[in-house]
Amino acid sequence: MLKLMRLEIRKNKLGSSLKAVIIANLGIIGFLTLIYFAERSEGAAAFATYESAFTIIDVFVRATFMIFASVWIAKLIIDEYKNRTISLMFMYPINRKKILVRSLLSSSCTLFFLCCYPMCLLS
Amino acid sequence: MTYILRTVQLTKTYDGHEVVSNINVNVKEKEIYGFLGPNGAGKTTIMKMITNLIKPTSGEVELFGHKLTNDSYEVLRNIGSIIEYPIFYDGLSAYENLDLHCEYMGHSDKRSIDEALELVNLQHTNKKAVKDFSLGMKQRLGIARAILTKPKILILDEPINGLDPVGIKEMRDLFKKLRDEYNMTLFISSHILGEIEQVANTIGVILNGRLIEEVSLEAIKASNPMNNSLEDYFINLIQGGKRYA
Repeated sequence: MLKLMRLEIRKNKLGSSLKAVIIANLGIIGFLTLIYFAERSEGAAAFATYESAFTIIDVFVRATFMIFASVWIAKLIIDEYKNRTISLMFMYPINRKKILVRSLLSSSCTLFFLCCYPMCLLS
Repeated sequence: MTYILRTVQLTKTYDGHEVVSNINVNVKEKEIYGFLGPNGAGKTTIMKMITNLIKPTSGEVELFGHKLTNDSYEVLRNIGSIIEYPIFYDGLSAYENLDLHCEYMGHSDKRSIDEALELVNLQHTNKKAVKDFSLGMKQRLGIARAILTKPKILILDEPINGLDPVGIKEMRDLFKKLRDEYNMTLFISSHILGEIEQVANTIGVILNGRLIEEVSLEAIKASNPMNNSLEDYFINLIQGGKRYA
């Protein structure tokens, strides 16, 4: 199953999505910096507590990666049927249930990794 | 007589309409079987049932002496196929597509990728993505993928569609080479009767979902020595007796 997931990531070039993730992270950092300076210019203390800082980071990351999630799921699953590559997959000596499960797992794992990574990075 | 592929009373019904009726095809080992029939006769449906892409309504398919079931995945390791038209991961190169095929088929000999690309004259495509290939190049790549793992049987649906005359001749020679040197069995459907005539050992003619003839090419030629072209035979067969709807 792990091998199938690795192949899935390879054929859909999900590695190249890392660039998009880095750009999104830079955007989020930019927004956070903007909030910090805007608040400071008004004499208020931005990110006064860790809790408020994490809440704001969480909101940005969730919003951004919800969009990423939609795009990747569309790319991995819908495209497979639209381009009829699923019928190619069904010609391989692999259990069909496994083929469908690896599609969902590889997209979920990639998303989980890509969502956790910026959270850790920004925290 | 060893049959590598047999269908027994194979039938497929869509919405109560029988598109394939009681088909009995017998393909011998190491032969080229030409599967002929007009558009909509049911050739692709039969090929899909043979490759386990769709389930027959009734009847059965026997491959390598074993009945094909819903869980017959391992048998697919010995089949190379192009059904309807070749499908690829368009963003990847020819080599990457074949490499993926090797991985999915569990074929570890990566040298066979270069060998297959060379056999179909696509060795110089380098990193060009498949989406930039012409129809003929895609067709060649489809054949390269089908023969990559040296399967026992090749099931090719209109394999010479989109090829230029030079490409058609190359494919004809390749089919003969695969049969004679690699001992493969080929089950080919085509509309180009002249091509089938030059390579096939046995002909199966399907019309309106029914197999109306299965005969060796030698027998056709022997039965009518004065006018023995496959084209005449085919047209007489489907139009004679007012069988062509």
